[in-house]
Amino acid sequence: MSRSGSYATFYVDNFFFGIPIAIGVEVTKGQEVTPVPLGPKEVAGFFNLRGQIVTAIDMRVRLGLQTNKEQPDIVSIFFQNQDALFALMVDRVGDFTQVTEATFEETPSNLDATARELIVGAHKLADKLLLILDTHKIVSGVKLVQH
Amino acid sequence: MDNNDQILDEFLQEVQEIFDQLDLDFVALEQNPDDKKLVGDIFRAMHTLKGSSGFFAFHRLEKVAHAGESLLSKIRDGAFALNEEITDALLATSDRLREIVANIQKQRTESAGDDTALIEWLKFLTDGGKGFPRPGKVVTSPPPQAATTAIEQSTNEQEKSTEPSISFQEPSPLLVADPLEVPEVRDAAEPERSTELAAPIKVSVELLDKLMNLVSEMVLARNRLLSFARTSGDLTFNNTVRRIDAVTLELQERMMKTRMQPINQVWNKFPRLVRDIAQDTGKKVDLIQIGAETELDRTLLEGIRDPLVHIIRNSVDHGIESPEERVAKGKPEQGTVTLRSFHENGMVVIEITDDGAGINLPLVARTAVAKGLVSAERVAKLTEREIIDFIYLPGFSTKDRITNLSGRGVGMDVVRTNIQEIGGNVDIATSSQGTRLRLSIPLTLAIMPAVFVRCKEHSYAIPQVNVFEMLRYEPQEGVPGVEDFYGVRVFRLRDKLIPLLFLNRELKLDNQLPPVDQPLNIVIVQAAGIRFGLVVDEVLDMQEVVVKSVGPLLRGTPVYSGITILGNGCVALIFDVAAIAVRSGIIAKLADNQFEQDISSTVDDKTIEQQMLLFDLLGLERIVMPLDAVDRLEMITASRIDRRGNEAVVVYGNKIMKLIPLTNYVEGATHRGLYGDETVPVIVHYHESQPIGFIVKKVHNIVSVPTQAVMVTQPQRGIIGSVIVNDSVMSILNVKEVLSLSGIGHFDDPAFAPGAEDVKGVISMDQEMK
Repeated sequence: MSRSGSYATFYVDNFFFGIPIAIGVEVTKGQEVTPVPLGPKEVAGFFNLRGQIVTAIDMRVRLGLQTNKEQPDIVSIFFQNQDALFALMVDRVGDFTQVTEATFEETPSNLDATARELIVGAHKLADKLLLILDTHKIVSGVKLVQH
Repeated sequence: MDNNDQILDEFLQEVQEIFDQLDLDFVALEQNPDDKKLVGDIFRAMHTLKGSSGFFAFHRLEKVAHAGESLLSKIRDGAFALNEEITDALLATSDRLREIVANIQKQRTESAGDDTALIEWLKFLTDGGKGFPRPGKVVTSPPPQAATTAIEQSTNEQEKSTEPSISFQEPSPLLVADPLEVPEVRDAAEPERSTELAAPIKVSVELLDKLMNLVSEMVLARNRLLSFARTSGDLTFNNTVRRIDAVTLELQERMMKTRMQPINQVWNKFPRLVRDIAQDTGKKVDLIQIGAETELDRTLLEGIRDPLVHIIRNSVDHGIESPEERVAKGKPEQGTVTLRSFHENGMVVIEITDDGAGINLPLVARTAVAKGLVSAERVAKLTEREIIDFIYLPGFSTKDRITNLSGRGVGMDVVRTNIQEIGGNVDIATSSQGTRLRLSIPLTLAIMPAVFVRCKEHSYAIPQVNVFEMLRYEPQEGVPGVEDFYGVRVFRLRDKLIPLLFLNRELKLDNQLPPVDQPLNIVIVQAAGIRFGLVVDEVLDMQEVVVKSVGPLLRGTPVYSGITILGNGCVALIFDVAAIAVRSGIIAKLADNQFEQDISSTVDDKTIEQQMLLFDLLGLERIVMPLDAVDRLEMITASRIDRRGNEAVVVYGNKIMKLIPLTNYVEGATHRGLYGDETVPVIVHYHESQPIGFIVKKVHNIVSVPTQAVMVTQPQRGIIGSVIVNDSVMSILNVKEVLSLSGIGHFDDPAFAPGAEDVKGVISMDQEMK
């Protein structure tokens, strides 16, 4: 994964995350998500985006953070993971940001296991860190069987 | 007659497509002579062509294709490499086939002709010969058009002599010298062809999907427009909206119709196919078709056509025994092949059942060993299912004799490839009573009627095939209705007790149970042979829904068979009623007719078996643990093991793996100092993405454990219970408990029910243990 490029950014809790826009990112708001009883807890539900079913992943749950009762924004990331579309439910959407290789820093080794799986590294921005997420891991790491 | 014409037209179209593809493939092959996949493709195309022509009794076509296929099979198996002469011969074959087909197209029947020279040549090459005296030199002949235009019956005699020359002389220099010329040859033939057949346009699935999505979008836009029009007083505007509404509706209906066709479209070819094969092989076979009206997406229909032909051919040729043999076995003289099609769990299921001899598994195993696919000692340990898997390998055949019907080992790999391409799967069950192939094809593209129900604030769809009846229960004084059957609510429907499931509880939305005297909305559903009532908050309406896949993240949640988009743009989940029944534990076995049971019992055993890893501990042998909980097997040298406080750890990849000597946690095993200089087998299990290593004495192999044989023994530390496999008792490791005892996991950790969906027996027992 190239470290420089454009990232779509968003906030979950106090963290500032980015996903590469190269995979095709679209920001939508106010989608009505249909929940999935008995489904994996990370899956907030499904919604319809121009006739296609999108699986919405609650990023707070996925990242193991405190859940937020307020209606979150939805950032839809488009990537062809087995032909399915996924959306990440986040607290707030940020701007698109352009970064270069020079600001990239690897993940520190004492990071929590869940986070280390999902976060590739960080870009040092002037005022904060932009944590880069691995979108494939976000999806593939979801535990399918729950009780 | 019309019907036959239609079938012939379909055949001709199909053949035309095969030829077009063959031309491209041949050219590509010339450039990459080592491309095994390409040879395989050509081989399969030839095989299909042969199969189809056999069905129409086009003997010339069949013979030429057969000879070509034999040569190709040698190349595919790597017996010898492609050289110029073989290419010439193959191209000549392709051209000859094309020419014969061109005649069929005009005359609706195969013209006479002599292909012996070509077949001889192919045979010569197949036997490894080189430098066959080219027939091309011998004959001087009219240009190819002569052959295709001379169609009068009276000229057949003359044609016989001239025909062989055309294909040899004409294409060889042209095609071999300059492959780029090939498309021209095809183009030249094209205009002539198009006057004969107005071929329908092929539309790709993606385009249809896209159109479908656009139509749904349009419906939604129309809905918004309609609500807007209601508040607007502009008459012209309202009329325009009404017009848009009508057009949209029709568009939607047509769009859906374009896709669905009854499976009969494919099946109607089969009685003849079965009859012909039976006659060729001297057997008596009856073909029964059940559910021919089952509708299937057209694109899927095309996908199943060839696999079905292969399967039926296999069933009749290999499966059904000769009449004498059958009588000797006490079976009726006439064999039966049954085609059955139905919707089940959101899939279209097509079953092809024969009451023949079944698959000779020992023979398959021997062949696999003979072909070097597996070692002799390994094969003895394979399960029946694993042995069956061999027959899916390309080129695998137990037939030592190649007939023009089957035995080439093409077939099952093609069947599986084709079915998997359309997202389905193939399942084989076999016994000496017969073989049943079950093709499950997903409804990803299909449309089905569904009943919408509401539970709490959301609506869900129940496939109408599962819905038996819907009723509203109003309690009345003195009339028994909903009753409490020792903790289970049952409903008295026409004097039969029907168990009730409360949807809100099944979905774990809440745990409320309405009082017995409250009115209820009950949907009586039927799945896997049993009937039960689903209590919902409200029954909404019935709609035709477009079933879409639930995506990869719900694979562990088999409660839903699909998802659909509603008119208002929201999405609704579609239930898999059978899965709900299984989940709730009220599933019972389906009692069908006797023969079905014979086979299904073998199948059922499979589906409720769990794969377990068999290993030994010191002083305690034959312990199994669910394979789902096993992530890797490692041999770890004792010197690599470090002690960290009381823990034993080892560097594992870029992580530290904690080692757990299982003997310390399982009652009955002998404790022992761990470390010598030996290597210890370690079963690696990931717990919250951290590797945990279980130290064992010896790892054996994987066994299939039938869950219904699970017995709860006296609680013993570290062991859930016992199971009997092949007359020996095995103990099932309680992974959860071991982790808990060693201070890693918690008893209630949800991650610790590996394979829970698959194995009711183990899990329920597991829960009892808690």
